[in-house]
Amino acid sequence: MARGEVPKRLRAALAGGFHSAGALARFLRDRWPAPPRLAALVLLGAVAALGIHGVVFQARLGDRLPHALDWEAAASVLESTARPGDAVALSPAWAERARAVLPPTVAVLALTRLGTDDLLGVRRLFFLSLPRAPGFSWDAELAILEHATAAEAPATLGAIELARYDLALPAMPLTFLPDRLAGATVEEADAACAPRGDAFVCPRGGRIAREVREVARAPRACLAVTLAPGAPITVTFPAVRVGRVLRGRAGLVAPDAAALRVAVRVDGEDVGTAAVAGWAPFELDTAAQAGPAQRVALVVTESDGAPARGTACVEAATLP
Amino acid sequence: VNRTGRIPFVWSALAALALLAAAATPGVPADEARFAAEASRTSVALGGGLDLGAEPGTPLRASLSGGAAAVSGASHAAGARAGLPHRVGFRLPSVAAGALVATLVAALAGSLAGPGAALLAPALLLTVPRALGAFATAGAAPAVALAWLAAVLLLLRAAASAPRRGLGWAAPALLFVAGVATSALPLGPPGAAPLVAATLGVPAAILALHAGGLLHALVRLAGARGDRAGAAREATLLAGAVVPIAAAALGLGGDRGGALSLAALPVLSVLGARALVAAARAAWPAGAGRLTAAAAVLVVWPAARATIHHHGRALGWSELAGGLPGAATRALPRGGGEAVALALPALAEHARPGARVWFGALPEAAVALYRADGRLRGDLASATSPADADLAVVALDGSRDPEYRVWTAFRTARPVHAVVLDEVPLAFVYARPGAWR
Repeated sequence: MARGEVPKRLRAALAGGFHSAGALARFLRDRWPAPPRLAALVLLGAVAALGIHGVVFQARLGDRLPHALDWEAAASVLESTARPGDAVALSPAWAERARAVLPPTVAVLALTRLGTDDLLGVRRLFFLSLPRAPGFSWDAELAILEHATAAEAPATLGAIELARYDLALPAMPLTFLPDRLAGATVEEADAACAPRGDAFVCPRGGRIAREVREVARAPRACLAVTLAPGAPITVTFPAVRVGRVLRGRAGLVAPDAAALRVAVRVDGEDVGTAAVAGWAPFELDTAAQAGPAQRVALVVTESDGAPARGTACVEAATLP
Repeated sequence: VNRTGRIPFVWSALAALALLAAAATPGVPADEARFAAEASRTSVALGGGLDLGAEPGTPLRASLSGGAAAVSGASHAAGARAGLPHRVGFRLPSVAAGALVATLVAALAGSLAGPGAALLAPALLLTVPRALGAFATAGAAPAVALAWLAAVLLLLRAAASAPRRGLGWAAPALLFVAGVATSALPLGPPGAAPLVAATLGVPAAILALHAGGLLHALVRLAGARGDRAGAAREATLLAGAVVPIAAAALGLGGDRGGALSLAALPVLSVLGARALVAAARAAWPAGAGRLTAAAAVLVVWPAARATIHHHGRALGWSELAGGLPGAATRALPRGGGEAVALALPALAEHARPGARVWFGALPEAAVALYRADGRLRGDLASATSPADADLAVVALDGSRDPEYRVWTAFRTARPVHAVVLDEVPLAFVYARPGAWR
């Protein structure tokens, strides 16, 4: 091919192309529907597309969700591999059929957002996810990856994916204070509260019990404290093993409850105070008070003159 | 009605049959139980013989809601004599209101856009899960919806007969006042729940038709410059569709904003059906009927399937929300407590004889209705708290605190039975050791 032939042909081809494009544009312009007809076609197209999407969505939904066999397989895997100190996190959090089918020895955490504070006492975490479920996101697993490393490749059990993570720095409490309530003494102002069942009931109407309550839209095992107006409650735990840190969280069971405060004393010495609001975490330095059998007192009071109302949920643990 | 012939009356019968079938479902939502408790006072006064424990001495409210409760009570008294299940007796006025609304919707759609719209509009209404649920359960919402639609029809008639007197242009304002007055509902905090229900609670294709219907009405309103009657008609229809949802979102319905939201659906269905028929005519004039029918099947089929799937078990959420699983992920409500009924057969089969059962936050009236209709085994007693109970049945709606109190009392978080739909748990049964065989 002679020099200069290619540009000529290219120019001719481009000119032809433009000619064709122009013809196409004219063709489309001539046949482009009038606005009312275009709007009608758009509406019909949208309705048809959404209708077909609806049919397909319903037809495929069953395959995107686990069947009984998938749950049995997950239960079987956990039965054979889970150890004390293991927990299962669910994603999405509503996949709580797990509570009914997984081995009862493994704690099930159904939390929309999982932080390190939720993993107190957990060494290894199984992450059970339904990745094909509508609305699924990997946010929960990404949050776990901030504190843990994947121990092995995830197992696919039908519509369930099961992965195991080892926590980089597991927080193993020396003492989880709510579990020690039965051996504690409780006072309302200066009057002793009497044990009644699993709770302590106080003369002026205050009450404290180890319960699971809903705070910040999740179950929390905590000391559920109800104050009588103007009457703080002091709960004293004898012989608590105290380490460097006392870590806890506190929140209100009902959103309209009044704010409260929690003061912590170790062997009569004030360590610090925390506001009870929104399941906010608090961490108090107890290195100076560390010891194998210390007396730890939690003093729950009204906050800033607000009259007591509702129930507070207080979780506290001593850590090494 | 002339152009649509017998279609409204056919729809009346069809809607009554469909709603009667839907009303036979056993689940009693918490709201319905509270309404039935109020209604039962009228029923007792008329010899109905079932007191669901309304507050003694409280007079019936002189409002649409109070009137609906009185009618429901009277219906129950009559139904009890005829041997109908108690829940169905309370629900019959809602069924009647639903059938009447479907009839009026068909007539209005037919008068606006012909027989195709008359056939389609009631289907668009009754295949919205919330609408079917409301018209098949006892409550004030069907009465509010009927009153609202009647107000819209009266104003349309007035606007058509006397357009020059400005009555048509006053229609939106009158509808607003009527909405507030007829509902006689308390003020509540503004919220997005009515908007969420009006969008994600409606099957996607029907939602597209609602939007298309509103736009179509707006375009017609804008194009009706010299036609005062036409402009008044379009303004009235737009107000009839938008005002209830806006009022509910502003908190005018209080805790019963859902009743106001339901009131918008009949008018939205009419507008949607009219828009679809008009779109088919514009897109393919020669085959408009066939195109309308094909599009209607694509709209109604998935919606009807979803409605049947969810009815009596859970709230129906659209495909855009991801169905019930997607809604659960977004922390939207799963139901109103009706799923407890689905746990009762397992309870009858496995509960220890004479066991005491706690039903969480479910109103006592719902338990009384289950007991009266023979769905709760006769020897099972009701417990007043988890501490007194051997078994607990808890619906997973709203606050989970009642369920967690069961964990505390029973010392376990492991249910013995789960009611799930699309893998989303709706109710759990918990048992103390030995109480579940």
